[in-house]
Amino acid sequence: MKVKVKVRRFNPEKDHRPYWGEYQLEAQPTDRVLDLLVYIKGYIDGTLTFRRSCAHGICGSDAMVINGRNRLACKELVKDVGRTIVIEPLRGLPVIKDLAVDMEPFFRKYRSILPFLINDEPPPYTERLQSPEARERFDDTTKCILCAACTTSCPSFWANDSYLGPAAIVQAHRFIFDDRDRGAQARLAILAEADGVWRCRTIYNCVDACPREIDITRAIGEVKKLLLVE
Amino acid sequence: MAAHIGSSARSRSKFELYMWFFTRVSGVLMLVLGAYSIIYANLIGGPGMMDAAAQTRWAFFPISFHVTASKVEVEPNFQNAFWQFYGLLLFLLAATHGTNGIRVILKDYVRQPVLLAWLNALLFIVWLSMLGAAVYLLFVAQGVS
Repeated sequence: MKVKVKVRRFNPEKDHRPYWGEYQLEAQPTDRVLDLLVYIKGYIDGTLTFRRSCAHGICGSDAMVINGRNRLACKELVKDVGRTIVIEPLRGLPVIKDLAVDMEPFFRKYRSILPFLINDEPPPYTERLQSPEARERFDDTTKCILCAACTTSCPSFWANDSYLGPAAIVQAHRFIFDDRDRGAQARLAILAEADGVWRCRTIYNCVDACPREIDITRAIGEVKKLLLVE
Repeated sequence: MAAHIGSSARSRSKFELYMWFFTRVSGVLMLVLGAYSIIYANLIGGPGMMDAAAQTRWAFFPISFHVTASKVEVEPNFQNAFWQFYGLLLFLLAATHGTNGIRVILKDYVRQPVLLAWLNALLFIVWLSMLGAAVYLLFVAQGVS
């Protein structure tokens, strides 16, 4: 089948403003959007820039806006997105070139919520054991691959980029509800600030955007409830 | 170590937490209070005696002015201290709930701190004036019977 791919292009060294690059190509319904981009880069226009690494929905490199929705290019099939495919870089992060955005503001927020195990107690001889039930408590939020699809789909984040964003809160949730961790108070203090969980307006864009199907708004709600009873 | 991480110079203000909780609680309370007042009005006045507009006005701001135009006997059904305080409570919840919503939106979209402070001050004055008007209407203009 013939498909038309429109890509939002921008090269800061040449262009004053972004423009649409249009490419006609032959594709299979089972091709992924990433395959089309790789084809364009390989055979039509080698200057097209985008990130991709594993190409199997695990590394989180190729999140982009596909037909208006935040998706991983490696998980979207042509048959699901139609014959006209419009691809833009993630919104709310500075564009470096074409589809590559500067992820540093996103990772700065991720680092700010202390995304590592905090526990002063001397480790036991073998390992810190955890019951299956305790592990289940935060299972959903362990699935995050830090692709930034959720944070860059969030209108609260677009409006004000001082908001921590859903991804950072999901990562905080992963440690706060881990019974081996002792850093909950420090993280909750960060999340309780004006730029923390309170900027979430339960718009649910993040839930739609998440390629790992994490129930993000629910996780944020659980943090809000925990702050209330603390 | 754990206790010290991230504890430097964080604002310990719980204002946002309380306002978030208030928004949830007041939303539910307003529905309950509005439902009770409209059911009461229909039990007392009966359908057909208050028109739909009067019923709606009464439901969300139970003040006897809103039923004087209808055929319902205002005294003693509606003009008493219970409904005055009921009206004040409902108005307080609604005005604070709504004003806080605007405050939250301003915080999202207004980037300049000075402008934001002025707008917040203006918002606070508007909230206070609305409250003053409600108290006047409920307790002074109407008078405790």
